Amino acid sequence: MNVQQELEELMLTYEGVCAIFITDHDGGLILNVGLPASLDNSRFRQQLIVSHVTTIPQIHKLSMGGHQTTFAMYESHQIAIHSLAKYYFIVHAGCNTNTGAMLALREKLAPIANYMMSVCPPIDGDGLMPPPSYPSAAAPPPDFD
Amino acid sequence: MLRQKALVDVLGQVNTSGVDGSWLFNKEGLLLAYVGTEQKEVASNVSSALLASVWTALERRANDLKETILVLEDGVIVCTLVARSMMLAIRASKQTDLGLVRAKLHSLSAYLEQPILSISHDLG
Repeated sequence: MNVQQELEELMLTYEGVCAIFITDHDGGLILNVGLPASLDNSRFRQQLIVSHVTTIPQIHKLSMGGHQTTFAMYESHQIAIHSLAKYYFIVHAGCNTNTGAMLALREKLAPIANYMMSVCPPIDGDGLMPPPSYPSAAAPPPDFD
Repeated sequence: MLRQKALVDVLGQVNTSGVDGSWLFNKEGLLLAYVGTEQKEVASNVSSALLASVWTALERRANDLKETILVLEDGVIVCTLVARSMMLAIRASKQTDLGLVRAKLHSLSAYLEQPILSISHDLG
């Protein structure tokens, strides 16, 4: 599977989706499709990743189980952030894009996440959990303030 | 003034068909009213503070945030602004259709807009 190609195909399938990028749970960029190269290190993307990563500890404190998707609708665009395995898939779309389709995109992204996990499994062999010695933004310690 | 009993009655009207909680709070996370089942682990005033914090983080990068949806393993929380100063959130079970939850959020938000605007003016 060519992950970049798969993401590009998904992006073209869903009308209005203009970028999809994958980060790890610490906000490090793994793959990026859609955004022009000149915007690769743009403030837009970095702010988006940072703002999402900072929300994860708060979301866990709601005690409603693990995070699956954060969807944010702005006046000018929409963002869906799907937590899949140890990655965040961030989907950026225009304001007229179908919201349900953006949320349902999670099902299409799951095989890609599974493939990425098989290509690059965690060292301890657990495909879903990060190694316990490396605290992740997705699972803050219980005494986190 | 905003009557607490009337406010609670209105908020409670959305708690049907899988929706089991509704909050009204300000952008600082201070709770005005909550109607719904109390969670054992997290009090409603703590939840409102957490939701306001999530909203603020998402709003930091663009000021035109209109609505958020948090899909979690045990449920869904949708959140929107009311009268630019207050926030309205609704919690639903995972089985509830999201369109229905959003429709309830939008109609409740529209209903509360004018009363909250009037108290905002009173305070201002």
